[in-house]
Amino acid sequence: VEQGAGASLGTRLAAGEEGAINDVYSALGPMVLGYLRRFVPRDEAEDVLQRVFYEVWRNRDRYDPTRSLEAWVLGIARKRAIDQLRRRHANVVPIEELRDIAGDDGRELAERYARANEVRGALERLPSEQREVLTLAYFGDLTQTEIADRLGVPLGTVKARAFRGLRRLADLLGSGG
Amino acid sequence: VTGHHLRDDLPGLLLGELPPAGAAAVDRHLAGCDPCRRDLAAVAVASSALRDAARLPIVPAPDLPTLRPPAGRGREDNRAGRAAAGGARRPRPARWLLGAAAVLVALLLGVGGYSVGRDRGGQDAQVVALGGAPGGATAEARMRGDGDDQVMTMTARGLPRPAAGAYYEVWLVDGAGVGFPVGSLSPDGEGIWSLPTDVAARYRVIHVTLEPGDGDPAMSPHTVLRGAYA
Repeated sequence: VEQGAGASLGTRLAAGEEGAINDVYSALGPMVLGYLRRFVPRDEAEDVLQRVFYEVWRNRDRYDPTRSLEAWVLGIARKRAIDQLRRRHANVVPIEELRDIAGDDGRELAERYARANEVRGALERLPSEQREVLTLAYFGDLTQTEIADRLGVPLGTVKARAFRGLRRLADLLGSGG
Repeated sequence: VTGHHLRDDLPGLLLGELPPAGAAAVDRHLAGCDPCRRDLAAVAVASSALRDAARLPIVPAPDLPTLRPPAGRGREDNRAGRAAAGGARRPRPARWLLGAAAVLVALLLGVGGYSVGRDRGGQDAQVVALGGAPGGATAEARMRGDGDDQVMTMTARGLPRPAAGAYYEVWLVDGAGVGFPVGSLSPDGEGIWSLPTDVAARYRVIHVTLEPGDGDPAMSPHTVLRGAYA
């Protein structure tokens, strides 16, 4: 979700605007579903997904539009994922699953998902030639030389686009120095 | 290596693609160039964020199921419909949203047959007494069936005014202690909500909790009132 669009969605949700919940669901549902599938089986994840967005709507008056909508929704998803694990394990949750929720590097996985969604949204706002190079490098695992071959442009052009793209991305993510 | 060209090597440095000689040249330049060091700090953050984003799977939009009530109402119908439709599924306005909106409108306008403490028809409502508060506060909840939905009203008396930012929340709680959020009590201790009947049927106890208003949507452990219903 583009950052500006995310803020707008959040404002509409908090205001209880008709159709806002469906737009929030369309924008964030895939991310939340991907997050939930880390912990619960596919069919259960879809049920939990529904519960999450039901709760998002019911609690919309508690959402602060100045804060990240993605993080708020994923905070709810995290709680509901834990509820689901408790249901399945009769209140005993294996430590391995809780570790999964925290993520490999110790950070909250929900926080990482929220951040990843913001990053993907910011990536969408880059000029297409910069977005293309960064997407191939980070999501396609291609080297800069391979990218140059694939796009049919000089290596120097790929390097310049990669730098400008990363620099712009840093600005969009609020870490531009 | 000029400063301009060296900046273009920073992504390669972060991706581990620079040969040793190139990395050494960047290192020497950075030692005396503040702007490039700032650039490196910025692009390093962006590069790290991209790496992290690439590691986390995000489900493609066509896999998103249709938004529906959460309690399984019409689940089989929905799944059959999805299977018949095949391919991409687009969210559609959910019926429970319309029900909730109708109740909200009725509340705002003061019309529509719903009012706190009075049941339409007055015959099929189940009255639940809630108590247990140290200060003697009580509440009365009424659950009235309305087709696929239940309308729940509550009136609480004697609850102390919560601290700034805090509020009272109503939950349905199952045998495992898992709560389903119903809604918040108004400052005067009243509330009216629409619930899918299947949701109401899966729970047996109503809790009123004091929520700290910290943005955490989880159920607070501070239950102030509770009552069981049939």
